Amino acid sequence: MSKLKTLQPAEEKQEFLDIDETASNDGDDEQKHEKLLNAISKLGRNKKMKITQRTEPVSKINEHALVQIGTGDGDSKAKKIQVDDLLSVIAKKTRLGALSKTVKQAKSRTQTLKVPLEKPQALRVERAAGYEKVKDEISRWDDTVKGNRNAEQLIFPLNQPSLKMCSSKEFTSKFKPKTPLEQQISELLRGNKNVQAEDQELTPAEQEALTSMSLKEALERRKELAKSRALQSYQEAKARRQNKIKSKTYHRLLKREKMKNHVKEFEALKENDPEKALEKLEQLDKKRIEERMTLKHKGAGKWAKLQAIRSKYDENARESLADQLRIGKEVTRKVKKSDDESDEDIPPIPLEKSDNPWLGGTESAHPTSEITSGYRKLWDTVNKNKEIKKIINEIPIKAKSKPKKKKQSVDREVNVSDLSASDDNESITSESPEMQEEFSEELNEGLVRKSTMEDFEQRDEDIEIDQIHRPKKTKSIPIEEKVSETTKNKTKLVTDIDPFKFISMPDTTIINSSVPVTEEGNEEEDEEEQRRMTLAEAFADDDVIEQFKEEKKRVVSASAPKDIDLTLPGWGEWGGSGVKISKRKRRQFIIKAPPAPKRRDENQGNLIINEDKNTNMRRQQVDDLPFPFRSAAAFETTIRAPVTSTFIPETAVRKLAAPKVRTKIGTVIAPMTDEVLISTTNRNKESADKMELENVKKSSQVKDKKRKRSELTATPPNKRKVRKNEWKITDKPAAKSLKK
Amino acid sequence: MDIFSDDSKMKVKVLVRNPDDYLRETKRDIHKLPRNYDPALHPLEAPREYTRALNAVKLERVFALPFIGCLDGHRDGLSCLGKTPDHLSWLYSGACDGELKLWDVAKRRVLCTVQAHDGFVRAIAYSQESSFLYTVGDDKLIKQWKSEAEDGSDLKAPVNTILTGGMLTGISPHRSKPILATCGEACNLWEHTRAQPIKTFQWGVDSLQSIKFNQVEENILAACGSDRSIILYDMRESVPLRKVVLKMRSNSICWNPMEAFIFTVANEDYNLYTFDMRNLNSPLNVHSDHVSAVIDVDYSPTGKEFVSASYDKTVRIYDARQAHSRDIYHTKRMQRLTCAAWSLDDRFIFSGSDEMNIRIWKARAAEKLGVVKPREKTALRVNAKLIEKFEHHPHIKKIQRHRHVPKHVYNARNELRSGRIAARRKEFNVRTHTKRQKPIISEKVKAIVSEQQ
Repeated sequence: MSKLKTLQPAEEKQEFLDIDETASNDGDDEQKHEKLLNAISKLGRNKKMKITQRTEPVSKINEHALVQIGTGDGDSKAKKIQVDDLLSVIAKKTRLGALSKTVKQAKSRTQTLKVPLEKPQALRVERAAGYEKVKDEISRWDDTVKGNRNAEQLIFPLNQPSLKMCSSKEFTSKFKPKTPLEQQISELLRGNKNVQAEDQELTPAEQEALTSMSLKEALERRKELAKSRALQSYQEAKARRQNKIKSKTYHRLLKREKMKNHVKEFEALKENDPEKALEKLEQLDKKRIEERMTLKHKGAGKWAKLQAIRSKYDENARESLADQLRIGKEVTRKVKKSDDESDEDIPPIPLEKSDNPWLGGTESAHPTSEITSGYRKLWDTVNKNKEIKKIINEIPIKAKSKPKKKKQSVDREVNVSDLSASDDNESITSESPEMQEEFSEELNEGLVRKSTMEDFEQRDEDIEIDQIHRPKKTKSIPIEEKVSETTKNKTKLVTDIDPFKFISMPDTTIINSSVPVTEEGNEEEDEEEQRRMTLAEAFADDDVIEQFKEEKKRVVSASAPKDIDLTLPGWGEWGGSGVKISKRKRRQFIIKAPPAPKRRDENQGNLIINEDKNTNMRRQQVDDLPFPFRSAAAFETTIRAPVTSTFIPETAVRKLAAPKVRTKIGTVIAPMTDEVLISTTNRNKESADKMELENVKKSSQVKDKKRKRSELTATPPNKRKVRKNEWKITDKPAAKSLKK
Repeated sequence: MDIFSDDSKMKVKVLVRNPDDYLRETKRDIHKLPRNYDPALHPLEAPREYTRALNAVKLERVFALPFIGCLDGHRDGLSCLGKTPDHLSWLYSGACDGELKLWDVAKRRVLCTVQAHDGFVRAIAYSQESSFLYTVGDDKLIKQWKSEAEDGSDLKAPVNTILTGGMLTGISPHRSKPILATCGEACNLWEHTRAQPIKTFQWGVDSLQSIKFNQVEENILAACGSDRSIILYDMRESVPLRKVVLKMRSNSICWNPMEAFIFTVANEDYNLYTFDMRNLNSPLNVHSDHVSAVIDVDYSPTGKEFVSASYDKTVRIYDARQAHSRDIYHTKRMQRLTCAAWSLDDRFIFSGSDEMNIRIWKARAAEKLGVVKPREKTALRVNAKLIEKFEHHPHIKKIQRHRHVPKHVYNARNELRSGRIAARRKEFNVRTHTKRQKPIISEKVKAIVSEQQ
């Protein structure tokens, strides 16, 4: 409405006036006068929309001449005519009753259309819509593109026909007999029972033979089987029952019985076959030794446990326990008499390298925890005991000369006297150089003979020095020195203890006497192991300095030049086990290393300077982690993995060196086509299915045409040819095929 | 006799080997070398392989002789090159004097020469769908040529000529429909039987200098405008799709033939930009290294690499996903390049330059041409693998990446580099000494002015 108001131009107003004038020609004077007055009164006011009144009925009504109710004079505002007013008039007529309804409906729906966008905006919207559409459409290539980017190898042109290798089995399955001879043979083979099927072990004939047993035989066989099965079950039950028995006495008795049986057997053997008997004897002896090693004198027994509990308070108990342990050690030492005549006395020394008591085993124990403090004392005494024994052996005079020592040594001498003299000797002689040789061969070839020789010499010197120095010092010092020295030389000395058995012994029971220990097997051991581990972790930091020293020593020794031993055993003289290489030969063929150059960190105790850093080498090495790698370890593994045929098989090399992109010479590589979107695997599968279908069809055909042999020969080759042709067509670039 | 008989009784144990294990069956067979691959026996695996890799990389550089030959015969600078998928060895070339030549690259001789246009031949395109050759020139003509005869003799006169209203600068055929797109004052779509364009795309008043149909998603095409814009079109729509404006003008555009939504433009700001069509906010990659405006770009048919021709008288080869070039080709006599093309078998690169020559290069500089026997092939592959394995080692990397470049390129590069460093330093200084930080804008995004809908 308001729009209409504003749109009315001034010219039209003029027109209206004209109309008015024409109308006034034949109207009455009163009206004329009124109009004039109105006009005059309006002159002063703002020119507003002029409301015209229709004064004359005309056939064509000017729309602009229609009166707008509510916009005009004040009195007419109230009577704004609504559609409802008009309808109420019509409502009486039944024929037009529906009209009011439709008007209502129309009213409820009314909605003005939005103004169309201006052209630039409209275009923008259209473009945006088109772009979104294309974006969606083109995203279907995402997977393909990603797949191709990550592919190990791409072979161009991409859409090659799917050719595959036929296995020999497949090939033979397609074989059709053509010549009469072939057909005869195949006929024979097909019906024959003696032909072995693909996945069966026996031919039908053989199977038949197997199955064709008489009833009696079958029953007998069945009975036999049942019997054996029953026996087996009885035995099993018995074994289970026996295993369940917990009684120790029973087991002891069982063992004894077994032993007796063995002895009996042995006796029998003795008479019949003395050689075997000897072997058996040795075996038995070994078994006994092993048994002793594992169980006795380890503090695992009831008595030992009791003593361990007591040892905290009772001196006697402690001593007896220590004795027990010592004996255990003595026993577990492998006893071997050396063939060599070397009489050098080497003190028996603990085997472990590390000072951590829980890593090794029984020998070296420097417990740190409070719980084991009592035990440690005991242990010390044991060690001292040993040392003193040594000293007694070496310098009996000196030991006797010290009055204070004497008292202790007397006690120990009792212990020593406990042991038989022969035992003592054995323990001393156990460290023959030959034994060392054996051991060193296992460890490291770098430590060879030279070290033993020199070491022996050196040790002699050391002892001498000690002997010289001893009088000046207090009495306890020599022992400590001895101890430290022995610990120093620990690595070089060997005791003959079976290492596996040794470790497996649950001897820590003494250390944690509060923890109940049973004699049972694996679980116990595992627990023990775990405990040991945790303890080891707890005391891992104990001897950092020692470790560092050791490491430094290792570094220094590694950097020092070594003698080169070029002696060949048996070259120019007799060789074999136990034959020593002559001194002359050794002198001739061992190239002495020059003395090691002075190290920069020689006098700086807690410092290791790496002197073999090579600047030339550094230039060849990678600085940073290269891009695709996430960790240095990953990069290192790629470098470590060889790729050339010198180090890995040829087939592997070929696989590794396969190029990322392979193209065929002289072939046009067409851009990608929609066909690629259909996954190649599916396509291959489909084609395979098709092939199979065809085969089936063919075979059925064959069956049908079995009687008409003449036709058989002609069909298959033809088909093959056709397929070849198909491939040829697909070989051409894909665009053409698309076009078709 | 007695002695012998005694001897014969004696049993002597000897070492015995089965000759099958070490003897060849025939003379042609390879020598059997039984070998123990236990790594414990080969403690120096890595160092030995490193040495091999070093040798391999040195050899690769020794054999890197990419220049094969040149095709001379034009009497004016080259303006465009055209490949044809029907003949691998054929190459069309258009010159600035309007001459069109058909070359047999394998024999390095001209098959046919024809005066195609007055003024420049602006673009050549071969439509495999209709097997016609199309050229556009400065004379506002689209010419359609028949080119099927083996000796190229049917290229004497155009089959059809369309007179158009405005300048034409580029042409590109639809892959599977008989439709052509030309660019110039606007982007027009033509059907080759009609004299009037079937569709016209206009966005703004600026002219376009290069247009290419997407070969994979066939209805999409892209063009470079002189208002520094790249515009995407869909042939089925009535309006263009989107426009992205870069800082400087793009000279040429090329779609990746294997990755439907990827395209690369050669820009005036010495760089090439690779875009994902679906995200024009920022390019996927900025390929730098040229020291002057890049004039032309063409993808390898494998879609893994592309070649760019620059005004700095060099051709560079880029890995499509790397920022820096894999190789640079140049010769003393090669002047400013105007066009480059990658052969459809992924083996060769053609470059056309101002001094009227087309040059043929190997796509991989050290590749051996001709027959490569299996063992040699394996050896080459192993060498390549070795280089790949040790490529991060500085010495090998240095040898592999080292290229001798012309002095002007070297100097220009240094100059550019110093400029870049200065700019970076300044930015750093500004950043460190301002209180209100500006957001960091990546180098990729910097090149883009706006994306318009």
